[in-house]
Amino acid sequence: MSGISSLPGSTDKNPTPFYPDHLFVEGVAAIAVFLVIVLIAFVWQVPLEEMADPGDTAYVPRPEWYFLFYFQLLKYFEGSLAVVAIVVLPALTLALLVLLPFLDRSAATGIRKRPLTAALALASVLCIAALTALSVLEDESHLYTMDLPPVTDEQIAAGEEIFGRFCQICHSVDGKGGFMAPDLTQIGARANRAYIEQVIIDPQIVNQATIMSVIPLSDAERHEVSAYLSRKK
Amino acid sequence: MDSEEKKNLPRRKFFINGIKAVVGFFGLSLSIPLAGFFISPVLKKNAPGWIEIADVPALTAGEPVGITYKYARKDGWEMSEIRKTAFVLKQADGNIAAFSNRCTHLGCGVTWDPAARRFKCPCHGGVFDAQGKVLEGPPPKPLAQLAVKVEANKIFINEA
Amino acid sequence: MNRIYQFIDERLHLGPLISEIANHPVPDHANLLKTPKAIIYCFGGMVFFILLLQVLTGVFLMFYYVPSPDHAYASVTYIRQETAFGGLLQSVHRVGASAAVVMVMLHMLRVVLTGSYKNPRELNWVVGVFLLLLVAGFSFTGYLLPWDQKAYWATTVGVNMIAGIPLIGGFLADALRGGSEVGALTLTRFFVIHVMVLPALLTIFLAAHFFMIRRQGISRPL
Repeated sequence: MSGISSLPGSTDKNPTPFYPDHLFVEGVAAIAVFLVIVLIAFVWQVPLEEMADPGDTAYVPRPEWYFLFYFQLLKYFEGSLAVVAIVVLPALTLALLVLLPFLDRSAATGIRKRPLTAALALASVLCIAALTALSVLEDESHLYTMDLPPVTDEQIAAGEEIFGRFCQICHSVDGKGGFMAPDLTQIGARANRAYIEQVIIDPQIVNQATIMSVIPLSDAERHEVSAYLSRKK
Repeated sequence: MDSEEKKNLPRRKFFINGIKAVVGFFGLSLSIPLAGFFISPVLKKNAPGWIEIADVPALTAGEPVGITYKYARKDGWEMSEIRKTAFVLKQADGNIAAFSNRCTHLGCGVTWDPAARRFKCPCHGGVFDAQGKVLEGPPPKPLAQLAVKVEANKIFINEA
Repeated sequence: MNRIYQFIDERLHLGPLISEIANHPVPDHANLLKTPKAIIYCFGGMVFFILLLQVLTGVFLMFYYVPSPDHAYASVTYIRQETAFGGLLQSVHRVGASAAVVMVMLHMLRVVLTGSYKNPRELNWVVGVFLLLLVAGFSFTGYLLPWDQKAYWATTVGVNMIAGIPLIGGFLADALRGGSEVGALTLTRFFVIHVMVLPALLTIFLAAHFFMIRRQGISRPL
């Protein structure tokens, strides 16, 4: 076991033992991480969309956020260049990662003494962050925007009532309603309020293939329905 | 034990207690939700309630009739159809009784033998009379009585 | 407790092994009790903690989950709506996946910036790269399991990407899907990869990762 102490890292005069000192610190850190995860899980109830429908051609899939940068990257390699994004770049990245310790062989460990590695690491982080941001921004620009009055509790209650009269014949919410049209139990997690308004004003603008008819609602009534639905998450 | 280690003892004790507290925290905060998650289907009331199984006029007093009935049960995430048999008996005083056909010994299905006027179990020789009382064999208890109600000449039993 | 421990120790002689693990020195620069800067050294341990949490929540979700297109969605809905704590458990599993990715990134960044991948720790770095791929694999296969629209279409796109590899891509994609379309066979494949294959590989690579950390110590300070 002399191998451990002869290696760099354990040269302190009075090192702290792993147990119990360090394990306690790790335990406290774990509690902090755990609480953050549970809190986010509480606030952000994971949305479950409608059941998979291989026949749906209108669905726009998006990957989980940590793959968005790659998703965005794929957009820039069109046609026969796609192979660059699918094969060449991932292979190069992987090779660079695996070979990093064999390429950067100097004994220096400080960031300032290794400008190339530090710059490369920083550039990678910036690239990933920029691509992720671009992907989010491009998606948002496709979203509908509208000037809408703020949501009030009265609006939500009235919206629920109107929804029951006009929409629930075809749409279902929380297991109640028709089967002619998509379930809207979690529509608020998928669409913003302006999008919902747009669908009600003219369904065909949003989706040419829809069989939904134009619902004759006043502006106030439409705001109430959209207020109600945007809270269904 | 040298003096250096002695000096460190309270410190060491503090951290060991700290680790115990961390373990306790995770033990409690994980075991309660996970156990609740695991056990929740068991605690769920899942009774279909009253089921119509027969008409009163179709019965003869003193003669148990085996009736197979069906009901839909929510079986976790699936709806499944359950088929069961009950014996319905019109008593001499006109009251209706219903018995489960499950032998109280090990759960085989008993049949009514009209000639012997006995319920007989095909597995281990259990024999019950028309009122479900044990006459012979290993069964420890009479046939289970089911809750019955009569409304407008229709007989309902309650599936608990 | 003590007598049980003595009984086992007399026969297996665990003492030296345990004290080797317990008394292993933690260098000052990685010790949060000595310097707050040491916080950058805790990301790796937090990845391990989150992975344990994922295993635990995953095992419990599996008590109800059914990997079949007919029932997957219904079983997930059942977990979310009709079990106690089911919605929270699914959320924790999903948020935990994101948290694991965040911690893995931070851990990697720390290792790069402190030059910890250098001699003699090259091998451990390579093992770490494989662990990164395993985490990505977990998230890719897990995404399909709820069998909702997002799951189906994201997987369709993901596997089609593999089909874009020249020469062997089409074959690889078909092999992964179990056919030319994402369907019942894809779901069972992804499920088994997610709950059996990847966890087994993860265990092996994590064991190697930890063994090497212990054998080589934590790298010297900047």
